[in-house]
Amino acid sequence: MKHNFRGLICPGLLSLLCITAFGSLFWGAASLSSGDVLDALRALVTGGEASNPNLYNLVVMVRLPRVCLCVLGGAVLSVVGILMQTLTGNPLAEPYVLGVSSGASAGAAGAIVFRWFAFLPVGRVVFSAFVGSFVAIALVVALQGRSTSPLRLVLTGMGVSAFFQAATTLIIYSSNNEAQARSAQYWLTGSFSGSNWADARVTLGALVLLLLLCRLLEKELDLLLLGQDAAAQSGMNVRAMQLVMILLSALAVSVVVSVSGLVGFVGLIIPHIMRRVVGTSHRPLVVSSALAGGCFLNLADTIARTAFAPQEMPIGVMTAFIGAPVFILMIRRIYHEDRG
Amino acid sequence: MKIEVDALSFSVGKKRILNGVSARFEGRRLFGVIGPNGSGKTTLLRHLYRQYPANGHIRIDGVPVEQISRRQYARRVAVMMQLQTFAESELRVSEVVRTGRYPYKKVMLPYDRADEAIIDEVLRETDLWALRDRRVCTLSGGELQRVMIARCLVQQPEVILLDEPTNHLDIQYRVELMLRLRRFDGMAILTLHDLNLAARYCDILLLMKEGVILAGGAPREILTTAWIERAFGVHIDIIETDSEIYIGI
Repeated sequence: MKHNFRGLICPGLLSLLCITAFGSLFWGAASLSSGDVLDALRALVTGGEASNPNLYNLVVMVRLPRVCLCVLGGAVLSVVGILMQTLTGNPLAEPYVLGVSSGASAGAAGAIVFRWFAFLPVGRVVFSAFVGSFVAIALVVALQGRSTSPLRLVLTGMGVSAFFQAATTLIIYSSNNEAQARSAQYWLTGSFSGSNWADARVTLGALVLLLLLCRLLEKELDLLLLGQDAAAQSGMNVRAMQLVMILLSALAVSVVVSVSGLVGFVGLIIPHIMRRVVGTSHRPLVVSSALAGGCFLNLADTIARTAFAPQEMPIGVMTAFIGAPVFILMIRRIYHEDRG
Repeated sequence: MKIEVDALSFSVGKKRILNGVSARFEGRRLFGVIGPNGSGKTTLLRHLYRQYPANGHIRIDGVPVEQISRRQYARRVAVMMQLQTFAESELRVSEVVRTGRYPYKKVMLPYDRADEAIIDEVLRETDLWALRDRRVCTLSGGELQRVMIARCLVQQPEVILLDEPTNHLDIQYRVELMLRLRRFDGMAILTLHDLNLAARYCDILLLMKEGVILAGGAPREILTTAWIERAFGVHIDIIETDSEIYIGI
C-alpha cells in the first residue's frame, strides 16, 4: 500500500504542475477572457492566425514564457537546494541562506554596471554571476571545513550573504547611469516580470544539465549522505566530487539569478517537504522536488503578480514569507533534537 | 591477509599520540585493542582506515597502503562507522546497506542485479530482511548496529575495522555484535573499553598505554593483575576458571 502511494507521487505532482501552469495563464494584471487565452494557445499550437494579434502577443510572448520560466526556475532552485544540502551535510543549506545567490547577484550587477567580462561575446551577465556564486559557495564550504554544525554553516552563510549584498548595493550606487542602476537594483529583489523565451531556454538548459548529472551521480550523492568520512572510506574521491557539486550548483544558481534576481528559500522548503514524503534517496527526491518546486514557484509568482494588480509584488517577498518561518521551525527542531 | 604496522609514530602539535607502534595482524581472528583513554587506540585504528597518512609504516600483504588506491583498499578493508549527519536518518535500511557496494562500482554507473543479489543475501543473513524498507531513524540501537554491520558485509572485505563499536549499546546488543564478528569469515580489529567483552570474545588482545603497545597476546596472557595495573594504574581482581576470565570491576 505504502509502496503504491510512493509510486503515485511523481505522476501526481506532474499532473498538478500541468494544471497549475495552465491555469496560471488565465490570471494576470490584464484581464483576459479564457476564450482569448485559448484562442492564442490554439494559434500557437496549430501555427495558424490568432484572431487578435495583441492578445496573442500578451499570452504567447509575455505570460507563457513567464510561467515556463517560473516552473523551470523553481525546479532548478529546488534541485540546487538538494545538492547543497548533500554537499554540506546540512538540511539548512540553500542558495539564498548561504549567500550563493547574493554572490551571483553581485556578479550580475558588476557585469551590468562595470561591464565586467566585456570581452565575452555572449552570456556576460550569466558568466559574471557564475563567478560570483562560485566564489561564495567555495568560501562557505572552505570556511565550514569538516564541521557538521548547522549553526556554524548558517552563520557563515549569513556573513557571506551580507558581504555580497553590500557589494551589490555598492555597485548599484556607484553607477551614474540611472537606468542601469534601476536594472541592477532588480538583482536584489527578485522578480519574473520581463521574462522572455531566451531566459526560459537558458534555464531549461541548466535544469537538464542538473537533472542529468544528479541521475549519473546518484550513487555518489547517496553515499555522501553518510558523511564525508564514510564516503572516503568507501573509496570516493570526495574532493573531486565536492568540486563537481560546487561548480554545478554555482552554474545553476547563476542562471536563475540572472533571469530572476534573488528568490530565496525555494531550495529549502521544497526538499524539506519532499524528503518527508519520498525519503532521502536522491533519485525520487530530485525528480519529485523538481516537479514540486516548479509548481510552488509558479503559484507564488501568480499570487505575486495578481494580488495587488496592477502593482506587482517582488516574488522574493512571497517566497520569504513562506520560507522564513519554515527555516526558523527547522532550526528549532534541529536544536531540540540536539538536546534530546 | 596480513597487516603489518612498523614503528608508527604520530603527533598532534607537540603531543605524541603514537610512539613507535609495531604490530602484526594476521589470519581469521578477532583482534581487540584495549587500554586507557588517550592511549592511542583510536589513532592506531584511524591509521589503519587511512584517515591519517601512514608514510610507509603500514603494509598490507607487504604493500605499503599508500600504493593501494582508496577504492581497491575499500574492497579489502571495511570500516564500521556510526551514523552521524542529518539526512541518513531518513534513509531506508536497504539504501544504507547498498552504499557498501560502492567500492566495486565505477563512477556514474549504477548498482546492478549482482549487487542487489548480494545485498538481499546479507539482509537475510543479518535478520534485516523484514526491516529493509524501514527508515533508519525508526530503528533501535541494536537494529542500527546490525545495519552498519550489514553495510560492511556487502563490501565483502577481508578485514572489518571497528572503533568502540559497543559504546552506548545495551548488554544484549554488545554480545550480539561480538558473536556476529566471531562468525565473520575474515579478520576484525576493534577498540574496546569493556575488558570482560575483550576477555570473552577476542582471540588476540593488544594492550596500549601512552602511544605504545605494552603487550600483545591471548586474553589469558594480557588480562593479568600485573598488566592491568601497569596500563590502567589500578589494582583489579581477576577471576580465572578453566574456560573463562572475569575482570572484577
